[in-house]
Amino acid sequence: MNHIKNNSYIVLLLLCSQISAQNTDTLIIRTEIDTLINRAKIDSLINDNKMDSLMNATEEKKTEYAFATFKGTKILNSQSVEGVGRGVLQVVFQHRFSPIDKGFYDFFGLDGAGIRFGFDYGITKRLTIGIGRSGGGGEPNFQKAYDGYLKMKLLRQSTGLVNMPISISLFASTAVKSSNTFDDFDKLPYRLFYSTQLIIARKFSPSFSMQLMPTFIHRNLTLNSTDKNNIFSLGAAARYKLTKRHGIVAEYYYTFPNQLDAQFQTSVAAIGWEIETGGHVYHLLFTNATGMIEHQFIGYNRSPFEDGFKSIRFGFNLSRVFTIVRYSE
Amino acid sequence: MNTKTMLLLALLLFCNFIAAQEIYSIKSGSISFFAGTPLEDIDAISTKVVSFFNIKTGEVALNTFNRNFKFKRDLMQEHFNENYMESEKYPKSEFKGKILNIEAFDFSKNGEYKVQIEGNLLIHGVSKPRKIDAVITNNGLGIKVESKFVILLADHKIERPQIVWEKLAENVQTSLLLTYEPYKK
Repeated sequence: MNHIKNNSYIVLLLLCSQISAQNTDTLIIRTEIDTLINRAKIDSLINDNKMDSLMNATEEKKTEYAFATFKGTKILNSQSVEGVGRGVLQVVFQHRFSPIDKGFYDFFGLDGAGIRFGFDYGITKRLTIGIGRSGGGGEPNFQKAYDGYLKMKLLRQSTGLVNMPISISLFASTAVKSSNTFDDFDKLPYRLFYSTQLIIARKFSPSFSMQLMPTFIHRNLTLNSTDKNNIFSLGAAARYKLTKRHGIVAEYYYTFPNQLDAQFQTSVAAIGWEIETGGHVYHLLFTNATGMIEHQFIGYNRSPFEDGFKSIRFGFNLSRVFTIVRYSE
Repeated sequence: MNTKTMLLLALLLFCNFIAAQEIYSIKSGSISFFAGTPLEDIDAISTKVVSFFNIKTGEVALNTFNRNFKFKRDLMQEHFNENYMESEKYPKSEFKGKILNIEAFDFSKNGEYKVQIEGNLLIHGVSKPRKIDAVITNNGLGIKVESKFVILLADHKIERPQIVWEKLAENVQTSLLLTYEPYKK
């Protein structure tokens, strides 16, 4: 008797497994729909035949990632937490002019111009690489250099299944100084500069975002012994969107004392107006920095705020994106 | 258990069965649109669509999160959510409507039915009354709803600034392809 009972169990089991096998198709689809609806709520409402209440019971169980914390890959001088999209090439032109204090004589500094142009490319959604070249004429403050960098998104701000209050990107760049200012700088190792930043950002609302940038810079060779090889600096930046396409951006860096030679400034600031026109991002800005790469604007800034207009320069950033590789999902 | 309770239970179960048969829930669905111009193709698709369809009363409702629209270019997707749809403010797009002249159709029988659905289309927080043509097919396995219609960006107060380099069309060609099955608890 026991034997027969066992057999019937096996038959029952086999039958059950077959039924579930037949239903796999619908089961898969169900699970996808189940991520979109609250099944328990729908089950309790289905007999009421009320469309409105059924639709109101739908909710998506997923993680929403913050997007466009900043419009561009640059704040103004500094890097933002953002990269460019996958398969996207970005071309950037940046200008910083001479100080605005001489008025119409040199047209508020426009006669002297520092320039950086660069290319950034998004390898994945998280990893962006870039190269750039800086130079300029009119004054020795515009240094010539080549730079290369990579920026990796480590954390993304999100809500939903995963609650993450901040986004974090790691930025690392190497620059080679190419000006022939000092004899000491003629060997390649003496011309190298390394900048590393942790960029910690939060989009507080669709219009307000902020980020903090703890920064470490290593210079292989400095001017003298009071100008240290390793410098630590802390930056902060914020964006407030006035309309969908216009915003105000500001950034500030403070380099901790006893690291820079007395001729260099510990405070670097920039304030600007941001315009985004679908593919282009423009920044029109005022800053006391000459350089557009980290070791230049943090470690090599000779314009103290006390000098008033003599320390302020006008500048702009202009970027355009091109889709090189398209992805279909 | 006496016969009375048994009968009551059976009745309850039976009622449940009938009610559930009226309401169909989505099995798979896609909403896609084309908003491009000859110069630039701007198209996207969302396959995460929630919809219910009452085949007796002809009521149809569907929605999708704007963030579920996938574009071929990441930046375009970001602009779609950030500048055009303002997805943080208006996360969902939805349509609620009723099939006109529903008495003339019995969707539980196999066949192809050309219908008109009258309802409200809610996009970007702006609701617009619409009359949409659709073809409903029952092939015995499930019910399929297909529809193509045009959405005017101006109808839903979606701005299309002239300075923008992405050439966006004023009229967005939209297609729906939805398959339904009776909702099972």
